[in-house]
Amino acid sequence: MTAYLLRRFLSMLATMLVVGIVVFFVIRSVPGDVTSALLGQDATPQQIEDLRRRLNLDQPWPAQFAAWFGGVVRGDLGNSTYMRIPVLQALAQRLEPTAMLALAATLVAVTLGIGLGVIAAVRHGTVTDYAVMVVAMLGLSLPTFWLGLLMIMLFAVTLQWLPAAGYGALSDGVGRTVRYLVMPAVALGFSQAAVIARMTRASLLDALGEDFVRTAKSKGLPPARVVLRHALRNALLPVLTVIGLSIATLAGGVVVTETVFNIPGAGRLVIESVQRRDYPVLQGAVIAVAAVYALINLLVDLSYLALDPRVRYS
Amino acid sequence: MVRHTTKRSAGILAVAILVLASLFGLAFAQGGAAAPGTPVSGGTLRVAITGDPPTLDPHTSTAVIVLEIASHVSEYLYARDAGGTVTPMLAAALPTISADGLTYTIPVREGVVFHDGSSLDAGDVVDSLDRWRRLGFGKGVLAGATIAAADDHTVVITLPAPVGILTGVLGWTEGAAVIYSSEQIAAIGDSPNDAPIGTGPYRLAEWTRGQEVVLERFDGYVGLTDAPSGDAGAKNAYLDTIRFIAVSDAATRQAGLESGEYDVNYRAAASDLEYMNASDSMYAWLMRPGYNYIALINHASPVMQDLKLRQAIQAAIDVYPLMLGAFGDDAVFALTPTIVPAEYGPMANTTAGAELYDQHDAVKAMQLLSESNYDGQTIRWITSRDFDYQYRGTLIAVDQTDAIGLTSEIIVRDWATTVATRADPTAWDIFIGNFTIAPEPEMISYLNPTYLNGYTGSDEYAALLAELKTTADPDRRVAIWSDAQAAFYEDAGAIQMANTFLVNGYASDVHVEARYFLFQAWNTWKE
Amino acid sequence: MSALQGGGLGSAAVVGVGAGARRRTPPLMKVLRRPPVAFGLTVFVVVVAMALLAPVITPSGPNDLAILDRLKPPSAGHVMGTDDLGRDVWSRVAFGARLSLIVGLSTSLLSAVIGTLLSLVAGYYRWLDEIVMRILDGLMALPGVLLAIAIMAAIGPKVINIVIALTLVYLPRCARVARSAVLVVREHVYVEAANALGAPDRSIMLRHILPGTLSPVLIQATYVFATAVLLEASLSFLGTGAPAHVPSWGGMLAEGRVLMRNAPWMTIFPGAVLALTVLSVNMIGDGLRDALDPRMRK
Repeated sequence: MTAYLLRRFLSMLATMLVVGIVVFFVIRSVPGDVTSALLGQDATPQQIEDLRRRLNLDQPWPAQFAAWFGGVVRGDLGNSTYMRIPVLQALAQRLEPTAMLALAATLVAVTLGIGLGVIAAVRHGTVTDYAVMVVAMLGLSLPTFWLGLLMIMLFAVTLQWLPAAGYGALSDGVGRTVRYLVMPAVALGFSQAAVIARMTRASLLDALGEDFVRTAKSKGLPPARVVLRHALRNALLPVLTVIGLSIATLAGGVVVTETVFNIPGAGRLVIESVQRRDYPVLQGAVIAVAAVYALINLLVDLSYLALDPRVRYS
Repeated sequence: MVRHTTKRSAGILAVAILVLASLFGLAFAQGGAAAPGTPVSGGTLRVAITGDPPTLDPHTSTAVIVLEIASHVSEYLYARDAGGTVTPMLAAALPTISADGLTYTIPVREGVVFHDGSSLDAGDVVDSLDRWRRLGFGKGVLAGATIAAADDHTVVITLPAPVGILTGVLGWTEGAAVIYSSEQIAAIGDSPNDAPIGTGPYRLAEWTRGQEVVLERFDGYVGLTDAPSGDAGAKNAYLDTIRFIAVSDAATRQAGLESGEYDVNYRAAASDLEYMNASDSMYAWLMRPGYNYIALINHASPVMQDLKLRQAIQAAIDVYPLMLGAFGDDAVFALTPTIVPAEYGPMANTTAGAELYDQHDAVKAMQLLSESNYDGQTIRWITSRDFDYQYRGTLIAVDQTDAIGLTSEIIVRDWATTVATRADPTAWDIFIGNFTIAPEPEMISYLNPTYLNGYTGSDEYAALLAELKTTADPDRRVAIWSDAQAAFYEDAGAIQMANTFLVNGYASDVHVEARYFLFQAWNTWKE
Repeated sequence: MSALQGGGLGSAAVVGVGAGARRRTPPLMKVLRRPPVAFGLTVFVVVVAMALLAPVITPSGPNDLAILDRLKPPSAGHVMGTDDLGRDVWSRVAFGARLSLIVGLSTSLLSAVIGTLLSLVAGYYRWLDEIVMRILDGLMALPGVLLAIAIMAAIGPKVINIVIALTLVYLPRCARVARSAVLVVREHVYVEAANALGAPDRSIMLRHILPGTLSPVLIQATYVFATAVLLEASLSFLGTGAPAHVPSWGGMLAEGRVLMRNAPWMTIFPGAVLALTVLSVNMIGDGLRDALDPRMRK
């Protein structure tokens, strides 16, 4: 087990390194630099040159890479060229909104998904089943940003029930955070809920046809208990795979959702850093995202250990 | 019985009159956006801005958002009133200029205090102008000059050659000649000043990068007592706090204004103008003058050096539909041949050369094209969808020039790439966009040979511009510029299209005493 | 590496679900006649027809400007109205189908083919397996949207580049699905061969393994098609997708965004057609899955 964890950890580090190197060179091959974001729209060539010199943007790439990499090894991700604060600080600031959004969206996806999936499986073949599957289909097919825009139009602008944009920090009260996250979490989690619902339904149907379930039924156990205790636990394993994948898909959806709802999170920071050519932040953010992703994958894999005694890692 | 009734009637009448009087009073006090009311002190103004500003230091960046936020915190020697006239702000009076135009004596206003409590003196002005010269626009106008403090409240600038616009630049927000204290300049050197200590009515309370800038009223503000006008006069800080919140998405900014999340949508879309003005809960304000929307021509490109070709393009452009398509509502632009708009007052109101403006004459254009050396080369128009009015205008301009026989290619990239491409003289031919205008032609980038499009102009134009630069007398300047503008049109140095205005959306409970073309939150209150 | 990270929907390597009672695989035709699948097929065919016949069935070109006709609501002359530059929305929707279909088809084909090839090679040469998996993990380490944005920013906005970027995004997923199938079959083949002939012949490997990968990869490919279309729309929406002169549904949604109040037709029509197209492909994918993979039946 320890050997397994060690191997996973090392491979995570290797991936982070590879990803960091690739991003370093890719972003520098894109024309433009941070001066266009720092100066006004019609800045003179002289101003641009002066700024470029002040920021050491003219140094050859290997020198820049050596400087940056040296810092990373020591745990120093450098400073943002646009914001002039340490990259770690910039990332840390933006971590809470993204984490809360991802958490809320996952909650929506899991509860909605498993709930709908169970209902559909239990009412297999009826209108309810059909309706749930149609809704799930729609969830898979609607673009997240479109759903988000429509929700803003309806709930924020027309009905004025919810705030149109922004984020309430936890330090200002959990209630406020929830209010700001309702629409983004639903917009983001809806498509994943669809995936989870379909998977839950499918594997639950499988499990319900199993021998041990028929045995339980023939013993006279109430159907609800049969479903919940016996079938569901077995059915959850593949669902867990899907949830793990969902979190990955969620990471991508976070970027678009943060843009539409103006949530000051890490996803939007990455987009802004690309637009501004803020290399240090982009490099640091990409490495951080890769690390988080790998960690989540590891957690999902470890959770299999808890759920299925047949699984072993060496 | 009769007596009681009379008394009661009288009583009722009295109450009725009282109620009516109060209602009348209320009706007068209640105002819409324009009606005067009694300013209320207090409250927080939430302004949704287009993104995190790169700095709060105008010396290092003249991005409009930097200037607009920083102007609450830092002030200038001079300011402009609503008519465009330069008036004293931190200076005590207009400068005394020597007969040869080489020496400027500027008195500094007494009693002005910085946010840290220290007093403003000539030394602070000298150090600030010096820094401005090292880092900003001052590099041009103060090149080779000596700046010194004659005494505690007098600054003397000695120029190597006359500079016609010096006073004007010192009183022009985009000129960015803000005044900091010597102590702070010594402490930060040439790094951007992100915690500016200025003399303005508000001070920086907090700046959370990527999220918001929070300003708080500076109780020790020592301002002027003249009536507010434009950028000048009294700056009443009614609001306790101003929060500039970064909301990069335009649709989200508007939705936030409509749902009450924000009080001001800084940079609303033209397409929302009508809706906002028809609504009870908000109104729109047009910031005029805003920018000049032009087609910038790359004079380093061989194909664009052909005069007849440029004149052909100039003749082909049909400005009104182009502007309408680019901006969406004709309330946000004004077709005008004057390069320096009328709102800037006395300097340049000339319509010389106007017969070459907005000709939309396809026949003449094709004639000119046939007289040129144009041989079917592909004209490269660069643009970015990050500024959708640039992109749409380019689409329409290409459509109009296609009609007269030009072959074009539109290169669409993100803004950073477009800026980089524009800096490469071999990579583009025409760029359409908004350009900052100013009260003086020397301050307008594309009129001058030092700008990136390499325009030196015809001999006639170059000579007139050179003469303008050393002339300070206002009437003489108007005459010279008039001829120069005509020469500019003849030469098709750039293709002038229209004056464009920015749209700010305000919640109805926000009132502003005096307006300027840049965003100001002083002289502003919330009900 | 956890064998449970088979990845992809409809993966044949999901462990834990019991084998279940054996059921007869419904013939393909029977599946195709089921209402949802038939609906999906019909809609898809209509969308393809719309894309192919676009020049014929539209009154004007998708890029024909007509400023004075801008923002007109749907009418006889413009069945879906006009946009803010006077362009006919119906024309842009019809031509926009070309981009979505090309991107969807190319991406799913390329990622399926390359993914399968990679996994076959990796399955045969075990040492290659580790390297290939490392690289694929690296690609998968970034969320799809971010990876696509980065690639598009680096190589520039062109349709071919969108296909390249999206293929790189979906390749790992297809490769993983194929790999799971390869692993299962390979063990099976080795066991059989060991019992009978000694070491298995290369061509036998291919003959046994390849068919085993086809069904799961095909199913995965249809889902890739659907997600690629959505991802392209997201990229165009964010401004880093299709080049400006190519009509795209995502781009139309971005343009219509600020005008949702004045001209809702700019948002409704492209969004609805996009959703319908993706929906139809998903339904086809479901149908294929029911027909080909008995363990993941409804």
